[in-house]
Amino acid sequence: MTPTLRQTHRVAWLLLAIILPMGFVAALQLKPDSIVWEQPISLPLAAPLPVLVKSVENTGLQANLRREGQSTDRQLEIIVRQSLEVPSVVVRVVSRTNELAIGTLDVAGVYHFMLPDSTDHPTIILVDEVNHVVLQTIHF
Amino acid sequence: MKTEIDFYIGWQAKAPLPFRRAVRRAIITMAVTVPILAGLLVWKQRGFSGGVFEYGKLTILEGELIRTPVPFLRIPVKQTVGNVPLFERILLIGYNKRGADSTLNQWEAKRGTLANKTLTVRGTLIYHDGKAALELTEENDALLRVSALKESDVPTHNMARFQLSPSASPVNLGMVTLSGEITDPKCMLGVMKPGEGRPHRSCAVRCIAGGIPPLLSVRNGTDHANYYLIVEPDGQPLNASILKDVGRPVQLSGRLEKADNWLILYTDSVRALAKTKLDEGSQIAMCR
Amino acid sequence: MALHYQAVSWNRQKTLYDWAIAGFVGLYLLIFCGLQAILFPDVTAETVIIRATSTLAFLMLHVILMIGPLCRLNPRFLPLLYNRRHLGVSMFLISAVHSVFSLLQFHSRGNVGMLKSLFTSEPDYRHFSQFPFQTLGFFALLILLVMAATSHDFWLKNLTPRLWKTLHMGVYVVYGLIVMHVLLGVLQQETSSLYVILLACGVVTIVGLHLAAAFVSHQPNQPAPKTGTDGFVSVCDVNDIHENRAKTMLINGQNIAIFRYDGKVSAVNNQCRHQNGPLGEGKIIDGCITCPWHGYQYQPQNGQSPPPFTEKVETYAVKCIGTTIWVNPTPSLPGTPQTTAFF
Repeated sequence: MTPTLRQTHRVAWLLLAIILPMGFVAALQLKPDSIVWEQPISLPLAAPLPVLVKSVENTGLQANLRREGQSTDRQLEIIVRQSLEVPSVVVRVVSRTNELAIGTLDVAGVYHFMLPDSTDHPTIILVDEVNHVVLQTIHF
Repeated sequence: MKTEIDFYIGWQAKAPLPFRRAVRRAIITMAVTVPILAGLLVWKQRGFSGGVFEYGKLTILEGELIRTPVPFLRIPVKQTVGNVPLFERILLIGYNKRGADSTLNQWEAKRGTLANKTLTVRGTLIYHDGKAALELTEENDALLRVSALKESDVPTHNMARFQLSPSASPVNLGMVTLSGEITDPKCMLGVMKPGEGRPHRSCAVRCIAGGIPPLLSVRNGTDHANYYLIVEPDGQPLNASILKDVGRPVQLSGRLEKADNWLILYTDSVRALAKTKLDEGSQIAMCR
Repeated sequence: MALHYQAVSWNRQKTLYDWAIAGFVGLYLLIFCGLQAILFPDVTAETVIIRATSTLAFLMLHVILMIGPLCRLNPRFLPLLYNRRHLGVSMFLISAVHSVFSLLQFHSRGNVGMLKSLFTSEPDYRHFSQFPFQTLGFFALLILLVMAATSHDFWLKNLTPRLWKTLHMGVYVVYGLIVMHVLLGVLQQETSSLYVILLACGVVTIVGLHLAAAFVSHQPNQPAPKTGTDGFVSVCDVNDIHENRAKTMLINGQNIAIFRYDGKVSAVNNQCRHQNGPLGEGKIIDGCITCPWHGYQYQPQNGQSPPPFTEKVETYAVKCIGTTIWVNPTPSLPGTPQTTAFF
């Protein structure tokens, strides 16, 4: 290698030895600020009824059956911990004759739905209506 | 030529022993380092969303076409309690990095106005975190049938106690301020992984410039996220003006609306967050 | 050494070298892709390809950049240098896969062409935090393309070794561009500090080795040699040179290698015709000066490669007075025979 080339090598690496650490520090100081965490806005919810009748744990969610005092109204509370990776989630109440839809689920969060009757043992199914598949069955 | 013990010649068949030993040591070092590095580089990744792009699988859906402020297929849920209308919306997205509008305009040029009609369309589903979109993969051929809106799909106004969405018009949720990252729903919902963040930024810009409605993704750091489609305060697309803010931390203020299972933010207030000292320095240097 | 150009003149060492490259490339890809499928089944195939090839190419670039200084610090690593360009071309091909997939993934099928998208989708070139990092990778790939395309000895000969070596120093620019490409790109996404630590280790190793090699091979200004009336200058004592080895001197801008062998002394230009390799660090084998880099050979008395080869280097007149070697720093034309100097 010619002395000139060797000298050029020396200069090139001295320059890189200065520039790269500067670039390193400069790029790393961008990192901590680049991720913003904020509580997403939840949809307006009906207040949960005060009395918890029953609670059921299912995959990725918790289902609570709630009522108010001695009232016959029953409320279904679903706490979605991990959203279901499906194109559609419809919540249906199973009765002898039909399966009535009471709402839909999407992102992780809390959902409240009024139930059509006062039973303390409703059966709830989560249905992917695009693929016509029952995703989960919740038995109280 | 005899092999010199202390001198290496590459074109000889064999390297002298001391050189062979050095190379063997280098090979062993590499054999240990390469698998460890490959493992570490994979293992420490942040991970990828469970979003799904059903590539190669076409799904037929039927619902009402909504064109503004962003195109949706509004699918009625059958057999609801009290017969209260309930809908799930599937966001419509064009083929490649394009919004659905170009395809919808082609359909309307052929068949007249389609808004508020029931359409049967075929496309590729993309879904993640409870939000779903349909890519009109076949473009012109994606529209299979058009029919008038069914009687049962026209909303009535009763049974509010069931908190179903009784109205065709979205529900106003008031003014909000949100911080997050603007990306494109196509990639974010599952076409690309990661579908947001720095490396994906240029792709999100391309998708949004192509007409895909921008999406604000807001996360709280503990797997809780929500997504907001963004439009101008008057419902017009703001794709062109928002490009510079795509893929970086931003704060948006505006009016939030619930359109069935989607949230739409009407805003013209987009503020970049996390401006660095270095950036300010370079601005001064540029005399700006 | 070659009389005519062949795509690759294979020999056993070269074959072994290429098998080793293929083996390590295969091993890395197998582990990377296999673990991706096991640990992150949700990942897309495009992302696996983009990440596997990018990390592999960057790792190979580190290995390539380590070989040069390692050989200067310890010549036993020279077998790694001999076929380094095979490693370079392989690295270019792997980075090209990364680049093509990234271009297709992020920039194709949009409302503008791929290259226009590459340069305009992130238009904020003025701010460091917003700088479009993908363009850095693009320019790095361009340099690698030029280097890979000119890697054959045909180009080395036609461009001249000096220009070729200068062109191939572009790999240092590539290294700088790629480090910034990684820092401003994927490291802004990935949160594990392991990636920062690994990159820092890589940069420190490469820069450290090169600076160490530069320090070791730095030749301080030699004292002005004693000049005689006939243009000869006294350079050293014959006992300062080991048998069949050389001493190199920089006299009046001439880089001269003075060899001692079989009771004789000869002086030739220190730069090999092939890649300007340091002939003075070579050895006389079978009566020929043999370059330590790629084994090119020259006869010490006339600077000519042994027939049928045709390479020639400049020669210098030498004489011995007692045990003192005197050399005339005016170069004779390449391949000019000189009167043998006995001691």
